[in-house]
Amino acid sequence: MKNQLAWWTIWFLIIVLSAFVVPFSFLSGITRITGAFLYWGVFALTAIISVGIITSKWGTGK
Amino acid sequence: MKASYIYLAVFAYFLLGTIVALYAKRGMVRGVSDFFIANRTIGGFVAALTYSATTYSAFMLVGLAGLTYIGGVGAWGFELIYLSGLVLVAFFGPRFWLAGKKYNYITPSEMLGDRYQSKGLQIVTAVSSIIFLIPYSAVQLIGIGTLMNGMSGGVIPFTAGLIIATFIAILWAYMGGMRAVAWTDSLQALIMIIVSSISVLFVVYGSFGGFGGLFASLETRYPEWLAVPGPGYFNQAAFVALALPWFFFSLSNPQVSQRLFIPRSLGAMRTMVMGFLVFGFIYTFISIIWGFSARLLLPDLASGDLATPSLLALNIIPTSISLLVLIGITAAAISTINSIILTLSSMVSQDILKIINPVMEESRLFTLGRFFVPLFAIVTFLFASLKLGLIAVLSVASSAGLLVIVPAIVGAFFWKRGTAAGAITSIVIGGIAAFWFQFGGVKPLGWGPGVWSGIISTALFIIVSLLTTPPEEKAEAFMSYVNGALRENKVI
Repeated sequence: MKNQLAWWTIWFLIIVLSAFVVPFSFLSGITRITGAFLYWGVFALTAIISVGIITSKWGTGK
Repeated sequence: MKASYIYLAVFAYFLLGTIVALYAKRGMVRGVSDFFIANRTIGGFVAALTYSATTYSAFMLVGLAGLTYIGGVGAWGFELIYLSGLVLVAFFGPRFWLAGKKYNYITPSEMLGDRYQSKGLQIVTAVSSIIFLIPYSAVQLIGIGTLMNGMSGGVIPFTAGLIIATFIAILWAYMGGMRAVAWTDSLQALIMIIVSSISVLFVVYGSFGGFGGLFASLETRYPEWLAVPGPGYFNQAAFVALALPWFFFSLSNPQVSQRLFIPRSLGAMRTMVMGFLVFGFIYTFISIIWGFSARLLLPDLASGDLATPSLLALNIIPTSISLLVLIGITAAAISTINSIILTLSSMVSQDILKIINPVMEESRLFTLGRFFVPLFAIVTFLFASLKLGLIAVLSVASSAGLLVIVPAIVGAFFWKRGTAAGAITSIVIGGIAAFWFQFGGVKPLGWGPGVWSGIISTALFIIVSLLTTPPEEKAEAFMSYVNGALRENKVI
């Protein structure tokens, strides 16, 4: 259980940190919709899917 | 737009909402638990919509669209970082819910006070929330007043907009408490998402031939708006200062964290979380597209806050749709305001009055708590009448001030060594720091108030806790219960 919590925490730290860093570094020169706009969109969808997985067993217990 | 159309549309919205509020209050029982958290009986769909309507305010279609107008794609990034912050609900939501049900907590501050065994902490948390949420609510009222005034060409006075919104917010929250607020929020969330979707499609297809055309125009005419720092507003320090407090919004703002107590089951809570995430992604996309459209169609506006009202005034959108958008924004603001005043009233009842007079009867607490609904609304109205500054700035200042509660919340579930003294110090000093940095314009290392209040409150919580004695017995009982219940419910 602790492992799972730790893994998800690390996963979210990575993706959230990337949302702060990547558009300002690797993508700062790309003035197209396929740059920061697409990156943040994909980031958000990844976060949503991850939350969907984390919460998938809620309410199935006693 | 004719003022009479606006009055008529607002009246129709008010009538519909009041019918919904009357329907919702049928099952209401006199009592604080029912009035403030609907006795923990809200289904997943309504919970998702009330969570969405409470979170998303006039800031989205006015403030966020305005930030997109002046700063470009960075607005999309910081709002989506906020949305990803819902992972905190994935971690803390079931913990709040299980602890709330076991110990009968009605407010998040009541939970903190009990967990750390400190009535002082409970009062401090409640007072701090009241101090920071009044400006946050006031900016919503300012949004409505400005919009109605602007769209009617100045015919509807600014104050009239404030009075209308205050009256509606009071009526629905006062008559049916959380039940009426949750159901009217649901109606309002549906209005918000439907009318904004229709209007954005009108603008995008009417003016650019579709999303491809909009993006192609942006890449040609305003390419720098598609990168950060882009036109300059979203340099990295400004971006972090905006995004960081918002990431923690789901825990720091009691009007949303209190909603972690209301679902009828953990399954309903999951529907709430996932429903909100889908709603939030779509609504953020719409707000950003709205801002980009304004940038292309109205390039010479004096301020970002004018983007939405000016776009609505263009003849691309039929008057009827513009009117619906106005109602959508009004609904977004009112659904946030009445949720906040209901939460603040519950804090007065549970976290202040109940502590001052522990033997006070529940019926008396209920009556007094309910009385604070109109009182807080009137205070908010007076604050809004002062018309302080830019909407987005004040809204974010509130987030920075409320952020200081987060270390104590995290500690409550994950750190047995946390103490009431640590929590109180972090909230008081962190809150004062947020005020000082915001209003004094102080930015050490170029970082904004949200970053500093977060760092200061976390450091103080840890240091002072290590120097003081924790409530070991309660910490053990609380955390053991929550962890055991999480396993039983297959959350972990």
